[in-house]
Amino acid sequence: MAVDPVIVDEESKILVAPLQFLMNWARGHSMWPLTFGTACCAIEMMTVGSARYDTERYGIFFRNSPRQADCMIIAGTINLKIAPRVKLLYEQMSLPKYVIAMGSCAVSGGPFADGYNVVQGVDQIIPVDIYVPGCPPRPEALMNALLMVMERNSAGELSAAEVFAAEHRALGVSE
Amino acid sequence: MTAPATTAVNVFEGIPGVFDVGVLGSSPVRIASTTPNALRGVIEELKVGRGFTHLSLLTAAERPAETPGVKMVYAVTRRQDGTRVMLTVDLPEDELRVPTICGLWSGAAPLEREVFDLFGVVFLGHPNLRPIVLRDDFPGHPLRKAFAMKPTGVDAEDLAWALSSHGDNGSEPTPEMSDPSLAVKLPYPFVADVMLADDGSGLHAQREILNMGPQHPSMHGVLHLWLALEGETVIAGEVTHGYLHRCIEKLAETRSYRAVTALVDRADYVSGFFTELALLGGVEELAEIEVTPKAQYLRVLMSELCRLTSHTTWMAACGIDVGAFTPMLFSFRDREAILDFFEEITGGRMMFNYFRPGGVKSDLPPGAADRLRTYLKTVDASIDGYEALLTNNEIFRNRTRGIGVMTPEVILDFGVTGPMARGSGVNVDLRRDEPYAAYGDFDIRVPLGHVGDTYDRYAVRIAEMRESARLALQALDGMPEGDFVTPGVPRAVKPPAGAAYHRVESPRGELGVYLESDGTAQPWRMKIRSPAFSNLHVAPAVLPGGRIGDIIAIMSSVDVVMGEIDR
Repeated sequence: MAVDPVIVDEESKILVAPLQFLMNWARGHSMWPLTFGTACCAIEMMTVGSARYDTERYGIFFRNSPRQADCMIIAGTINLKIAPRVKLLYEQMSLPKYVIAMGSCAVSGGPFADGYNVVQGVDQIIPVDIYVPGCPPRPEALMNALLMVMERNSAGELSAAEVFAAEHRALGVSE
Repeated sequence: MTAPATTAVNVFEGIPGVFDVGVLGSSPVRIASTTPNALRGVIEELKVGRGFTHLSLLTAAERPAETPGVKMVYAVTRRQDGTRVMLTVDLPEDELRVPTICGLWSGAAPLEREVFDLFGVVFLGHPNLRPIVLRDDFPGHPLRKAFAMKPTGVDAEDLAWALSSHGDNGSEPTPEMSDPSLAVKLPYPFVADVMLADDGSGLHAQREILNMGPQHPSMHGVLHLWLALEGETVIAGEVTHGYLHRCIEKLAETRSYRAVTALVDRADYVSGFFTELALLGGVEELAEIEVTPKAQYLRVLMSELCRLTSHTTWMAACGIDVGAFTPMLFSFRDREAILDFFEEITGGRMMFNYFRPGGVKSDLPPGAADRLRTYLKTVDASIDGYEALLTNNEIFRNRTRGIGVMTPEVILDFGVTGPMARGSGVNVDLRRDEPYAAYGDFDIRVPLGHVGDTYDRYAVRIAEMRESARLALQALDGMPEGDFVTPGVPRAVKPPAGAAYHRVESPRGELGVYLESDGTAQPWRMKIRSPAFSNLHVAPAVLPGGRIGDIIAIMSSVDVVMGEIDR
């Protein structure tokens, strides 16, 4: 997918590139995550947006609407009551979309994995691109995950959502 | 601290239907039993006749296997002299019914719904007996010992039905009105009733329902508000939660006491030290473990620092809710400074696992005390900065003044505690009234509000932040020498059979842990009395009459932490 741009004219700085490259370049530098904070990790997610970590310098700007978001941060435990909402919001995001599972609970159910009401990892419900372990992970870890998403996007790699959709198309079943 | 047996008898003297009068373990709590039929009369006499106006705890516990059934537990407090009373009602397996007491305290209604949800006890005459934390279609009552948890947890089959429907607000209240004399009406309207009511004004056709949450930017977690609107004005509001119910109380029954500390840390995730402290207070009371004087001071120090971080987090959220983003940048800057100390002392930024039976995990690292002292002296100046941004901000004052007003009567009716109660001028603070840890040695000043509106609650919290910094300094200065943990406390604590109820003043109010031990290394029952739960359920009484924009400001002054509410 990644096609290098061709610089047509050094002097006037004209750049010719496939539209896909330009879109990925733009999107990769303005990754707007949808906050889906349910529990403890949400506090560390807030910290990422605060003065010490300041994600806005990377163009990462938290959104509250799935329709404006490129990636979804699942920060916290997902239980049987919230699970349908996670899926609903995920489905409302437009492609390309990425999912970060932040913290042990979103990765695997964490300390509550053997409970009667806790989903053992958000990947049971929606495809996940990046897993951030920790209980809760440090803000640096979440920042690294966001930067990884941006790199993948700039490089034109398929997101888990697209891989999932392609696999289903190949099998001839609907999503 | 053991209360003499004579006073224990006096509290219940002359009330018909009370038996087995005694004292709860080594605590000053008086305890007695009664029958389901006499319950309402006994509690009414305690509340109206003897001044026990604060409902502190309403929960249930499984009875021992020889006598199958459920035991209801009620705890009430007389605030004038701090007398604490606990009442138990034994319900046999085939007769899990008890009259509701929500006619005496409206705040009992959601607590009874929780017991109905988790234990299957039916409250006769309850006006709104629906599940509250679990999904409406959840099979079984998980806190019963007979409820078998799958060893592998939730599986694909469970997920399939969970994803097939939303599973909340779908069920009708269980009609348990077999005895109309027990039926109770709550002092606030329900959304469904308001939507159907035709008052002849012609306006009822224009009413509409607004759902806020569970994923909403200003809901401070996964909380669902269900509002009935007439134009811009809210005429009824209800709260739905349970989107963060993660089985903490059930899992605690399968973990050792040391491991339960790690679970309760995550219950109140903004201020984990307080749940740890309430839990360990109960464990130490049950197992009669002494805590060293130095550990008591360290516990006070960490609690007060944690109260500072909790209030700064709240202030950030409150500012954002009313449109002021900048205070968040300053408050999180200062929060980070304290979290660095936490990380140095306990090893964790948010999940500490620092308090241990008999003391704390480790001493202060070398030099930390001096650096903390230097830092704490700057806190007042930082708070001046927040006040310059919010207190002196005309928009903020206009947005928060005169809305969400709560009278002291409402506070008592709903069991509201902490800064929300103090904002209405109710002078309660467990640090002063019921000193735990080393608080007896401290000079505690309790800030109070006058009007009881959102602004007063804000002002009380700001004053408490200054107070916490002062108390933390006092703890550093008065820190005694000696061991930070009592030597010889076993790793696996096995308290003798019994019960304990220990409560502390968390940043949100009265946080209690009710523990029952059957003599094994795991608790038989662990219940967290969540202050935010009671504070949140005052919303249906406070929201009507407000406008949509005010709802956000009122809810932000509650300081909701869903982890502690849903558990």
